[in-house]
Amino acid sequence: MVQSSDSLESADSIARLKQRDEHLFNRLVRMHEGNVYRLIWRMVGHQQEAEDLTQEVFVQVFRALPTFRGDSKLTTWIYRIAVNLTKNRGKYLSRRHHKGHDEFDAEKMNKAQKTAQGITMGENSRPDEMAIGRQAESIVLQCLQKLPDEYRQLLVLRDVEHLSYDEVTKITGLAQGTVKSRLHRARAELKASVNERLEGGER
Amino acid sequence: MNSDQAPPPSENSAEMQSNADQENFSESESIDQSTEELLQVLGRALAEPPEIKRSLLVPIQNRIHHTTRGRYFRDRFSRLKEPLPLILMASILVLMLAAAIFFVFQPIFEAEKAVERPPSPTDPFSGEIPSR
Repeated sequence: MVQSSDSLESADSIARLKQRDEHLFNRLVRMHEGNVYRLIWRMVGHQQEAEDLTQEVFVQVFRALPTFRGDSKLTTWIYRIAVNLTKNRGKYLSRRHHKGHDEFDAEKMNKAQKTAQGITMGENSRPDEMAIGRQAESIVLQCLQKLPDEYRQLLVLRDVEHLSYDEVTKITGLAQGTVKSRLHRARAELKASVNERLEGGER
Repeated sequence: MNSDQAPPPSENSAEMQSNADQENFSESESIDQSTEELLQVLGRALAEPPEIKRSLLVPIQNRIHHTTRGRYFRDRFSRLKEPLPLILMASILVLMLAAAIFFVFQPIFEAEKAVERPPSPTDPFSGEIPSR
């Protein structure tokens, strides 16, 4: 993800952004809104919520720009704000026992969910393998949503966004060893959850 | 809140295991095949989020304008994505002004020229034959 945005990573651009240059900030938003929205959607699974949080991320970015020290890339810094905001929003919603926004969009989930039974991972030999693939995706998404927030975030950052461990540690603020072990547990938990779901479906 | 000072990670129970995680972690980077397949399915499932119908720039500018009590993004020009359209608009305005001035003053200039340069009796282009 952390795409090259060299024109905004230069010292001159950073200095102008820190002075809250509005035109440059507009460019920053245009360059990164898609990536930030995608990341947040992958973590919260709800379009409206993701759009709202993306807006909030850039408001926070604008507010915090003068204090950006440049220890990390600007994009990594923005991602970190996005992850922290998403985490805080998740906590807020869980305190309020809010479930409505913590699910992947219905159209995505319901594509083939109705007949999602009797599927095993990697089984693609049927003629309707496309439908089966969508069913499998739907099940995996549901299981992903049941994982603890920190596991879900790590899976998204590392296994979906394909960020390096170095970037993940900078974004999450966790030590690399912690990231690796948690990621290991997250994958194991996701796998167990999916298998449980599939076995339940086969019965 | 910046990253450099972004909100610190939460102190939940999972995070309190952090030190233990690092000490006990001995996972190799290899992932077994079924997990690999699972992650591929996950990647496909999350590959395409619903598209944003329009850019979030304007709502972001509005929020900043509101939260800063109108200090930033106070006018239309600061809300333009790039300053280029502003320069372009200014150039077009200057050109239009120049054209207007030209058309307004052109008859005056023409009249002045006519007064300054009466047709010469020997002017071959005047169309008159000088009388002897």
